Amino acid sequence: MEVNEAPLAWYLDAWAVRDGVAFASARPADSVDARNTVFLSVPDLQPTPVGRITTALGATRRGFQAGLRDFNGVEVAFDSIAQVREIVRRGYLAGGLGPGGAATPAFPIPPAEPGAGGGAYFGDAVAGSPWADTRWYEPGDREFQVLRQQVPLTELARLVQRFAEATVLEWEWTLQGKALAHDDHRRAQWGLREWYLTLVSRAIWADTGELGHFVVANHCRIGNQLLEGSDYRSFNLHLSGRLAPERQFSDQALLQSAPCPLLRRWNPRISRLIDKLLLALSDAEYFAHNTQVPELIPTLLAAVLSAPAPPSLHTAFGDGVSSEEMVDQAVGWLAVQTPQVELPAAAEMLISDYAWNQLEAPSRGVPR
Amino acid sequence: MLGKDLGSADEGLYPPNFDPTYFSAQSWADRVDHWETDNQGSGFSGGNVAVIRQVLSDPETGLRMVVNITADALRSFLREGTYRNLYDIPIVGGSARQPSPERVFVDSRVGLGANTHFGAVALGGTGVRFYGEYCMVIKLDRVAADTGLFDRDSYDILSEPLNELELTDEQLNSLRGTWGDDAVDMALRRVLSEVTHDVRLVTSGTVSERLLRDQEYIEVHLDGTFTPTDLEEVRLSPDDAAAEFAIAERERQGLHTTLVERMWRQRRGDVIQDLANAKLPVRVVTLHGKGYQWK
Repeated sequence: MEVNEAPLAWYLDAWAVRDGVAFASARPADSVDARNTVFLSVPDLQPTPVGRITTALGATRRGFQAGLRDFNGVEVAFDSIAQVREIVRRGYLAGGLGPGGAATPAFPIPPAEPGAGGGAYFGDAVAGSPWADTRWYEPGDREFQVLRQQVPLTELARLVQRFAEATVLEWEWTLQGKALAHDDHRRAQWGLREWYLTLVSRAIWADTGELGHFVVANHCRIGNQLLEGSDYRSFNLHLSGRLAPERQFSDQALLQSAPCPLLRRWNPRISRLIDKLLLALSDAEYFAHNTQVPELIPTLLAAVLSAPAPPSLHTAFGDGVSSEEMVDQAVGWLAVQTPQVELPAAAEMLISDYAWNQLEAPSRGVPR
Repeated sequence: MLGKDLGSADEGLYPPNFDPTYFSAQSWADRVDHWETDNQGSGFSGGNVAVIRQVLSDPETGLRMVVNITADALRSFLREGTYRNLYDIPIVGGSARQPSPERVFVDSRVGLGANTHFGAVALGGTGVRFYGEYCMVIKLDRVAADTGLFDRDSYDILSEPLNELELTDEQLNSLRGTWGDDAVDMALRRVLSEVTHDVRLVTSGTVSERLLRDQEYIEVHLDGTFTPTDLEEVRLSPDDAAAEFAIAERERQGLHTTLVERMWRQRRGDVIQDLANAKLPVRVVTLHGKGYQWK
């Protein structure tokens, strides 16, 4: 190794953004004179030495975009492979956003109207919260310490439950209308059944009485079907693996399909629950623009469904994990999933623009 | 036949430090004969030539053009029905002010056009996985006899030592071939240099591995595009299948998984569903030959 080699910046050579695959080289800008070229790919994004930059150049003939440039055509330089890895990761996540995103839903559910339907239901829950106006996020607080100090877990769990119920209501009401074609309607109906089961498995409802009360009070047709002839114990046993192979949709597929009820001021182009999670994980400034507790709740519900949760038969005997524990785990999971590596300013801006453009550019005055 | 009967191997088409039996103006068939003559002393060389030729030539199980593709691009291909390999507008960020001079140079020297679609020559295996985890195998009758071949990644003419030669047209022609006339001999010549001939006959698995290894391959230049009905099958790598299973198992056990992992696994499932809807066979394979085929 030469001792006096000046460090070179890293540049993306070729990048399949929506697929989380990229080549990057340590080289001068606008040059193919690379000192080192690596390949990275999801899911692990571990850099693999390639040996020659020509392999990367060949990728631009196969659907990879050529490098990364700002809107003046200037190549964006990265200080380290860690930064390259981070932008590829965030690009992959952002690529899932929106109606045309790569994280496709298993069936279409029409976007929610802000402030109506499930949004109104959640709005009522927010109105009753003493912590509704609490500023929970401070820039740089990557461990979410402010959140843990400012808002009790019981309140977070209550709001997560209400938001989960709001998603159920949006879903139920969609099925009661005629918005979906026959096959989509049938699949969405199957999906809602499994959505109930998934929410139960994550302790969204404390007991069968709580779930039953919600279902009856809100005339939930699919929810009623599920509870008919069933009790909470058998409901849980059903979840705990016995019928798991017969499920049509994975938890991730449901997350990619579930609607996102919206409060009145929220961006109307956010249509799916996963959009809220993907925005938070791909745009480093997302929480800086969304610092109040209600804005966190959809992301937190999505995190509850994504965080580790061992399937447990013991839940059926009232001995499972509590909703507060679930939310606590979700906050911990979210803390390590949100952007951890700071990107160069130009890259931060480009990836943020890409993420929001995936939802279609919000009109002027629509808050992020 | 490109490059055929242009001269003998000893005319010094390339500098002396290049293997004159490979970097030669001779046809690819003559280059194979030349190699065989030079290696008669190795006990198994003649047998290996026969074995490898037979393996490569079999119309049912022999050489194919393969095109690797990423998951999202594959889903788009199946949805739209036409393969595209160029995206001139970046998904993230802006465009270069000028076309890449390297690309302009290579395209012009190798004679590639906007309608050229790139693939690799393969015998089994999962193709050039750098370019996508899904390996599309093009039906043999869909690859026209005059489809162009280049004995390496055409961008390699930018790398040492080829970039130092200021390659002449004749030198470049010696690296070319066509599917109909040269595919088997180009592949054969490539593999012969890579195996030992003193001990035993090679197997088809070895031939497969030597023919296409990482980014070392014979490049195919298909003129025009193709559709899903032009595919013989789609192959997946056991490495990716194992990673998918490992993530699923961690999810099942309630261990930590990232959202990237969960999305990746879900998308693999979506791709399998799309391929089933398109009635395309899917196989998990390693290389070639008995013992290399997964189901």
